Amino acid sequence: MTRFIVPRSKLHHMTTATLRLLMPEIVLVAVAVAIYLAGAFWNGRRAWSWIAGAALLASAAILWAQTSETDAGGPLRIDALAWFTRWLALGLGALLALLSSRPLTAGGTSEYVGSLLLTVAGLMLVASAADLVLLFVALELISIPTYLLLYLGRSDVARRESAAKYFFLSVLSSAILLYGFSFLCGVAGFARSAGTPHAITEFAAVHAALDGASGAGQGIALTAFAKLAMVLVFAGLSFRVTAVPFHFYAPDVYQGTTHPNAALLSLVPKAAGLVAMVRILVDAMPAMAPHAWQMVLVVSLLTMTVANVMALWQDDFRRLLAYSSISQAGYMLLALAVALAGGRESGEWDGLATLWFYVVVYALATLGAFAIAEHLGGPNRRVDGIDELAGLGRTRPMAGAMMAVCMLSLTGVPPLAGFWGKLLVFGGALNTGAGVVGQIVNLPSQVNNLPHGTQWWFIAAAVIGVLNAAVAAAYYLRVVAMLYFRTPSTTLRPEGGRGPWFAAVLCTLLLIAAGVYPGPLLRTTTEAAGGPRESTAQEATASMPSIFLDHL
Amino acid sequence: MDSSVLPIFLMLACTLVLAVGMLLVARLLNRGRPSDVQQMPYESGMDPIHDTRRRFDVRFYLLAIAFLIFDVELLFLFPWAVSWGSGNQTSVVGSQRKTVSGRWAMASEPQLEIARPGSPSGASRGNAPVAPSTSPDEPQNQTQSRHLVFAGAMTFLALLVIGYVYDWRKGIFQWR
Repeated sequence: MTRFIVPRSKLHHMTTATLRLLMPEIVLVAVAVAIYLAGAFWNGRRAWSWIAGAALLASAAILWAQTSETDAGGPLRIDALAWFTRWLALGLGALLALLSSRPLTAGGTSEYVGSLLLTVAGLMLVASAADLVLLFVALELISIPTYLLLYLGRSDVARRESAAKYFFLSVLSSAILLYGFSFLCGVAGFARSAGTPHAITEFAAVHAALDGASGAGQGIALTAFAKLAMVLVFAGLSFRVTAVPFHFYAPDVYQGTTHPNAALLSLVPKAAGLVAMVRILVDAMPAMAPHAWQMVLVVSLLTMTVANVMALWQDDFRRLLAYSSISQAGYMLLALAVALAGGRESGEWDGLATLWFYVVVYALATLGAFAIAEHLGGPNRRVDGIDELAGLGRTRPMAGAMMAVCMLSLTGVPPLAGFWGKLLVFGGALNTGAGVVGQIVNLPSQVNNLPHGTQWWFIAAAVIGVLNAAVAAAYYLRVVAMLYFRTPSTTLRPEGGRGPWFAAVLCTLLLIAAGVYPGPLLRTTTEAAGGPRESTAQEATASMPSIFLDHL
Repeated sequence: MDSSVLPIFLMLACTLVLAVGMLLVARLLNRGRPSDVQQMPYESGMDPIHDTRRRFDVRFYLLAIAFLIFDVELLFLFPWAVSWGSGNQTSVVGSQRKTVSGRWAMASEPQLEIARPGSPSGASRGNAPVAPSTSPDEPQNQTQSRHLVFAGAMTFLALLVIGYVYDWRKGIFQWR
């Protein structure tokens, strides 16, 4: 094993600095452990959610107080993407805590809340890791509490199937991921044995090794291992992102669990998977990008097409949203493909900025939809079928309107935030392929390093994407039609409590606000996208699509 | 390829030859008339009494988990304990040696962090952060690193105790 040598005088500083930087995560984990333990002594019921909220606030306060001390020299890398993801994780954590604020009927509320905090800490840690081992541990810090959450959420046969299915497939995907990591570890070790400074992070070592790999001798072996690692890591992370060959679990698992759990599953692992993909594919091995974008593009197109077609037949609410979540992952991967294919060199239509924008918008809409469904349920009853929502727009105008806003945002209807997300994704794909159709669409091509002919791929991707969005509109609008144009069959008594209601209101307001005035969110995500790019980080912070700036 | 990886390929080749060879030889020498006893699954020399795939009580599972926790504890504490002892006896650390190995300043460096005789161990016990490149207060840094490692090990132990208390309260040590 390669060891890396740190001067002793720096070691202590490094460790304390690492601990200081990780304080927000440490607070969350410590409170989670305390909640687990206290729950064994005292049945707190509602108190646990309040304690979790307080922990999230404390963590946010510490994060706020942290200066931008970026380099600890240890296994961490706190850059713009890490900051963005940590805040995103805390925000998602707060919304999920609201969503699951109703105590479980079967007991185990303390375990539930503690596990929720652990997944939030895991997501924060995924973004900060610059080391393969830490990244894997962080991903497992999301997965393992999720098994528990799935098991605790409900008490019937379906949850057992749901939990078991998720557990086994998740473990399998972790194994694939680890196999890929082992090759990457070898590549990094090669760089270190070849004299790369030992103080740099493991990702940077991979980067250095692949940049130095020439076409001869060891270079060929290194590149071959890197390709293998790329495919394996992408496959392992695809499970978390629910990309198509690895999406099978999602509908069954979502259907068999509760609304808060389904919301958590469709947000936290997905965000973590995407962050890890960006860290490895974009950040650590940019030399592999010419291979990576092809893989990501094909998977992206498959994902959106399969999921959108399958979703047309669904009658179960969570099953529908599971397919929706899969198809949205397809759009996110398209943005990633654009970023990998060189969309990052263009100041406008930055693929990664689009990706993070899309993630935020998707998260708000999905959380909102699940929150309303949770609110409409009760302690002993769940909204399962879509037809249970019939006539909601008339019987419960407010809830109906919020559900409609979430569905329309997922569709991508103009006044809502989802529209900007779709526009950025397809615009980015068109821009990458613009060399071919520059004359027709009158877009100046900003991506010139693609081999001739491959640009057609992105034109095709944009066309397929838009067609998919049209197909997706059919099932999203079916829910909206159910809300307004059907006579109510059952009377829903909203007994879900105030927490889900508050979360739904918050999500809906944010969706409308980001739709009407997307500037701040775009600027934030563009800043976040500036993180992994080392050489040109400055340029990215200022850039956002100028057509928006001109009109705002 | 480097010649330093040659032993690995040698080992792979040996493994392959041995594995295939043993199967092949058994195949060649076998007369191919299996009796009932030969067909029986081998279970430590005892006659198998039932199918392997049967339900086990969930209590075994809980016990296994509890065992795993303390097994992992041992696994992590062992290198710490070993390096602690060797550091004390040999005191290989001189002030001129400015490097330690190990990645995260955790388990693997205590053997180099053990103070040499006469180091002012009580100089600063707090966790106050120290500037990175202050070589004059090297012993101080050393002491602090040692505290840090100790604190890390103690945190690990405390977490395990918490797990133990949790198990206890949840009643998994009662064979109900």
